[in-house]
Amino acid sequence: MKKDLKQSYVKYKKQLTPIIFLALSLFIIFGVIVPQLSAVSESSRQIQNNAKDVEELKKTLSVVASQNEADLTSDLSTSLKALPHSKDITLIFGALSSSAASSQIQLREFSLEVGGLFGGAQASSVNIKGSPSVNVIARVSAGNPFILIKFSNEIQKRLPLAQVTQIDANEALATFNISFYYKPLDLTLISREPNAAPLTQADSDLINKLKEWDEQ
Amino acid sequence: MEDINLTSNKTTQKKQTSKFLIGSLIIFLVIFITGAALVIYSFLLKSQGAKLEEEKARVKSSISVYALQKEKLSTLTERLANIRRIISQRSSIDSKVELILSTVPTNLGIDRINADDIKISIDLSSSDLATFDTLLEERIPMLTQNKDLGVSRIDIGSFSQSGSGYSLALNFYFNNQTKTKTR
Repeated sequence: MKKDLKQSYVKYKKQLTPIIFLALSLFIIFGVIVPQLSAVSESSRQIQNNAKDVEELKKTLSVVASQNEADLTSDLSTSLKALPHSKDITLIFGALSSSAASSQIQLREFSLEVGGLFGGAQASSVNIKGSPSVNVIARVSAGNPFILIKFSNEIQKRLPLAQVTQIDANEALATFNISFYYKPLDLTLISREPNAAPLTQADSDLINKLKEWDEQ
Repeated sequence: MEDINLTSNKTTQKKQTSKFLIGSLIIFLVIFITGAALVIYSFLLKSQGAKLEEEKARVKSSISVYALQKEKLSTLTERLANIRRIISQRSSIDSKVELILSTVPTNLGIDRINADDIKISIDLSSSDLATFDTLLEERIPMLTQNKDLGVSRIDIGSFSQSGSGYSLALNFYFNNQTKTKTR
């Protein structure tokens, strides 16, 4: 047996080295090159994503560091007045009173649906998808129909945001169904967002418009 | 005379074996160098990735100093997006009523208005029959030409006489998707 092996070795020793080289080459291809190719691809992808994230974070840092604290607080206050995070009866009453005064109409009474206790009517309706609202019924002294229209117009240029959904007016009394919008804040979602974008010109214009409505 | 092949079998075999050895060695060297280069490149990429992670953490830490401003700004942006959506989707019943009332001749009394998103009803009265004629023959057709108003149908609810006066009830039906104006 040993003699046979020795004979085979002597006979094939010249072919053995190339075979070893080829076997090692195959090992390097499947054991090193192929895994490294996927590792390189994965690393490249991660680097690309991280580079993008770093870029976005730097922009966010630049944006938040350049904010004027006073302006930001004021703008936020206005936006929360326009769309409160909860039903605010004080704001609603203020809007109704100032609209009535502005259109020279007498606000006789108003009532709002605060919430059902058990079953029954829902506390808030959703006229515009995703935005709950409080329904208010306001009764005003009737007069010139155009004055009633002015009241309807005025209430929709007040804060919080409102929409007149129904008008019923006769010679003596006019009844307005008004939806005042609110939207709860999801602070968890807001704080989880890693980036912050600067306000656009359209945002600034909207804030200015809301401030005009707030001053009325 | 027969051709004599001076090259022996052994020499031919030796040359072939030599070629095979050199070929396999070249292949091995190429593959080895490629593998080594990939390993080094992978190591460099990992190092670059680690540096980026560090920078990311550093920037996040800098941002955390402005956490309050960031929260205010994010809240403001969220509010403005919702406000914009509400304003653009608000219906404008008052504008529609105003447009309709502006077509009513001044000597017609407006006794009742009932308006919602789908229908506006107005009750009118006058002792002058010709005024009703003006309204129905001239003013209402002009109104229907206003596409922005989105009137889909107008009908007469009732027309009656009471003493020396006349009463007319008109109903205006709307295409719900049309907004007269956005505020």
